[in-house]
Amino acid sequence: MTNSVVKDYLKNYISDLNACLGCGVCRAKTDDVCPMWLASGGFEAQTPRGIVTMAIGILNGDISDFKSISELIYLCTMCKSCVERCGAINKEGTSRIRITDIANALRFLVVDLGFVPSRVREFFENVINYGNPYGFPRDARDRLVEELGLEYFDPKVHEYLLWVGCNAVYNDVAKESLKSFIELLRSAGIKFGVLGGEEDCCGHEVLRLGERGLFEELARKNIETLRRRGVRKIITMCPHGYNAFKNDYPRVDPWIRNVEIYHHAQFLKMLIDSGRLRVERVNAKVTYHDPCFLGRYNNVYDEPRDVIKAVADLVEMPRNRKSSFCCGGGSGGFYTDYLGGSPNEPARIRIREALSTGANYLITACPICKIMLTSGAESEGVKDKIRIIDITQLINNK
Amino acid sequence: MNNFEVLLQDIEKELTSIVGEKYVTRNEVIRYTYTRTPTWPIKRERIRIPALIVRPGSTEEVVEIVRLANRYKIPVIPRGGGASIAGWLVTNNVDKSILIDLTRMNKVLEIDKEHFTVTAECGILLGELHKILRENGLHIFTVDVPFYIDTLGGALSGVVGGGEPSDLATSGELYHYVLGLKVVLPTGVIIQTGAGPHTNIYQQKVVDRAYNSPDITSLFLGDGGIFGIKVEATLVVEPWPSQYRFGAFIFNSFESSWKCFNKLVSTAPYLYSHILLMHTFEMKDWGLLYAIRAHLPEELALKHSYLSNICKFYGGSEISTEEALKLGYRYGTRDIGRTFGSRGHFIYFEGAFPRNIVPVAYDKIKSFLESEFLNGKLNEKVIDWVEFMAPKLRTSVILGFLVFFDNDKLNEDDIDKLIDIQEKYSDLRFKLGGFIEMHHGFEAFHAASVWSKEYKEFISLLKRALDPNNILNPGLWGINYD
Repeated sequence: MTNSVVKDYLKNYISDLNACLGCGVCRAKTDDVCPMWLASGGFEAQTPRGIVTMAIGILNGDISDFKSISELIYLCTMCKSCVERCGAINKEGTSRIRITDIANALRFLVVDLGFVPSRVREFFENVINYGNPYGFPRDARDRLVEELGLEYFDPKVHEYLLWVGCNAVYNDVAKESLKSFIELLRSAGIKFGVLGGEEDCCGHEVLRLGERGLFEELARKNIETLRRRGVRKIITMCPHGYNAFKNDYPRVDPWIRNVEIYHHAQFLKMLIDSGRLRVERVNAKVTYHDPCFLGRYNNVYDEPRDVIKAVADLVEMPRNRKSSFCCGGGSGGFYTDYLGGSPNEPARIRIREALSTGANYLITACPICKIMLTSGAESEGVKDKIRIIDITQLINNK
Repeated sequence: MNNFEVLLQDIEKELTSIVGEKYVTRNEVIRYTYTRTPTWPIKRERIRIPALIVRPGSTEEVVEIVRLANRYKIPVIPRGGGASIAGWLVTNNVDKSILIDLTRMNKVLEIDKEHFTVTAECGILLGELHKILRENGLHIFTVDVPFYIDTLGGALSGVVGGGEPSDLATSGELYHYVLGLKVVLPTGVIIQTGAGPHTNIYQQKVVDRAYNSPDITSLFLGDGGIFGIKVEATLVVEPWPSQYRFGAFIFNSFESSWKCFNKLVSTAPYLYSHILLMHTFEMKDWGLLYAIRAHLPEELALKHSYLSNICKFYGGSEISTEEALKLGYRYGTRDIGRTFGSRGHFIYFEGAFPRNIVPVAYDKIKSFLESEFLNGKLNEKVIDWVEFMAPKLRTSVILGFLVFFDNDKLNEDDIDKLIDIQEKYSDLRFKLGGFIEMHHGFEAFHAASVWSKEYKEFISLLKRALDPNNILNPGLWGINYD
């Protein structure tokens, strides 16, 4: 690949890179902005500012060790906390530097150059071969339909398609949330169906890990399925799928904009507000963890809180909403786990913060966050002190 | 493999034995991310890349690294948060140097609530130190530019020995609050400064700076890191002022706002913790931004009432907090008193001036900058222009012009022109009676360029005495010797 072709990957970000002062607010330890820097505890390259500098180095033709770049660039969880904190602001007070997009562009580059770390390569291969990142059999999606007594989506019968997502199929911690949500949907009399084996990986993490071609293939296939099956309304169990449908898929096929997309926390709020779902107060002190791809990427902050407050006393963690701290699972981190293995892994930091509120329940609205935080609580040895549950389980009192 | 490469391999092995494999690297990409542009903010070249990065975790490890550097006579560059906006890799032979990243040394060692002191490792970020102290009900006058990324050691080494706290107007510089330092000298010897157990064997704690000995602490403040590597610092803290108010008054002329500014500066006790006069491109008026800290709501209300009366007397009218914040954004602050950032590519022209000459300096600098920027090819590329004046105690004023550009329109010729303007401005600032605002990077050379012959010889003599092998930031301040 010639130098000019390499630079093409970053051509849309030259203005962003020029705007960077290199002040480092994006990596600040105070308020623990960057999970990558905290968990690696390391060198400048393991910070958002380091990512920006790497991009500048590539543009300038100063660095070309793409194997090293590849090893470093996959530490980022794309949580976007750095973008929220970046001081290079425009007149409206929002950041001019799209740090996570720059990190993604660098991943596109290293993938196209063939420098992919082994865990990322495995992720891609599993998605290609099995339709999920874990490499488990595809037919599990159909078996889940049978196991939970679900119905296959039929537009004549069902108003909503429930997009189950990979984690709820293949991970028991996430599956608990799905079961709970299904019970709530049934009790509210919602007519919904699923795709079973026709549902494929949504590709959200594939895109963020830098495999654009595979993502587009998945997106086209899923959109074609949705179109063919006559889907008009989707409820997702996962903010990552929600973000894919809302923000990534329209770039592949604008048809998806005709489909109404709901995250399950938003849907619960609608059900409660409309009176279709009756809820009972529970005697619990709870705190809420904002998933990055629901909060910072889609500004969904109030609906989950409204739902929680309908049944329990919410006590906020010091970092919440836009300043929420990532669980470490984003952009494939739940599989690659490059930030795992130390007391400063993001999920363990977040668990300690949740404990500091005195809450006995940590609520989230994302299967990946739930998996990561559950693992973090185990590593911290505090599983008995705080229970990590999905917002659906809180409402369902499960 | 050349001789230096062979040497580097040996040094890397030795460094690994000192700090462990995890904390030493020669990786090209990682080393590159430690670069800053030598002429920020207007050039993107990054040509000075250190040969090795090492991240010590203790004073003992720093000592071992410095001794190793002396043995091999290889330059050492201590580095804190890497936040200097004046560029910093300006020492000699950067590409043959060891960069010591001190951010692992980030612990608060002691908070003494009885004597109101804190002792911390110098790799701690100021924001982190601030947060920990606040959790203990205490306040420290750390710099707020940029609060979240400067390390304690970096701040004390640069910008006039600690920089400008958000309460600069009433608290002065950070260096006023330093009681003592632990420093690894360029020879690897550890020295503790300050009035305490090391300057008086009967003392238990450092609770003052200069009883019993010369004020040696000052030697290391604002030194740009040439006299030693700061590893610990003891500072004065105070009870946390829980009350805070931010706002702004608008005046219809510079003259009236300047009169008000001077009246406020001469009022005792201080009615504010910070004030800032500000003027922008499209404003006909001048704004006076203020921040007030207090310990009690009544104190806050009273201070605001008096400040408000004075501002109104000189024709000022108060605007809403929301409007005041918008004005603050123009200055570049996202969160007043906390962070600082740009709204584009800006070049700053700042200096500290004795208060009495500010109006004259302001007129001359403004007319110089307007002739350079607004009457030539650069005119169409300037997107914003902010002027400000902030008092430091009652003596001097930070006078600054921030000129913002459309990033995408600047070409190489423009950049050369900007460098030229910056050089000319630097001369003008000195001739008008001003001082520089940075001690890192190229600004250190500007500062040293106006030292008297005797002063430069004295500083050089000190440097030679402390650093016989010239290994610590060699060449900074233009001090060179073999």
